[in-house]
Amino acid sequence: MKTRIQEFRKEKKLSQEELADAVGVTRQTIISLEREKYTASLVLAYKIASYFNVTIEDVFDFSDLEGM
Amino acid sequence: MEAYRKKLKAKIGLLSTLTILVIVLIAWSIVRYRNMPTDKPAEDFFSGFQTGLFSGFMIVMFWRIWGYIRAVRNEEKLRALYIKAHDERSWAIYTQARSNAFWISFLCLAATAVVSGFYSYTVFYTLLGVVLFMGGVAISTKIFFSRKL
Repeated sequence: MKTRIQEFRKEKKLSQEELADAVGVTRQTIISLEREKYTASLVLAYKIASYFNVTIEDVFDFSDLEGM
Repeated sequence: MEAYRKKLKAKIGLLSTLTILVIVLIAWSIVRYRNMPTDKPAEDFFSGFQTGLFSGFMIVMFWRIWGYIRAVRNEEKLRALYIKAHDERSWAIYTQARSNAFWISFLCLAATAVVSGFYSYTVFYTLLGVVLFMGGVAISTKIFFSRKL
């Protein structure tokens, strides 16, 4: 799934480690999310969106799911 | 985080008890080995295997207990351990790997059971028993989780 995590993270000048620590996951999980190799659970998506103070749809691109 | 600290303390207690039990088993295995007649190489090998296995367990448990104690005493390490233990991607990898490993083992054992039937009925029935048991466990857990989730 496409995400804008890296974009939001760089905007806030955060490292992957800092974001991972803030949302309670390992750095490898953030790397996988940014590389679009892993899809976050609803809880993690909520935590990330809340951390950046945006909606889940702003961070994660659900366009692939449309029409399914 | 306090609940996790309590959980770790309980784990330390449980692992310590298990470690004591393993040390007793190692001591018993050594005593048994010393009193063993020298003309039984199979038992000699088995005793060495037991001691090695228990010693391995003991090292792993000591390492775990040490890690948990350090985490309980230090807030930063506790949080790092909590994140490591609850990371959802790690759980996804673990679940996927475990499921695949089970089915690969199941199929390999089934294939081996078929081949062994040409050579030894004892081995065939033993492997068939293992395959049926694994299949039974897989079906039971599937029914259990289908009702639970």
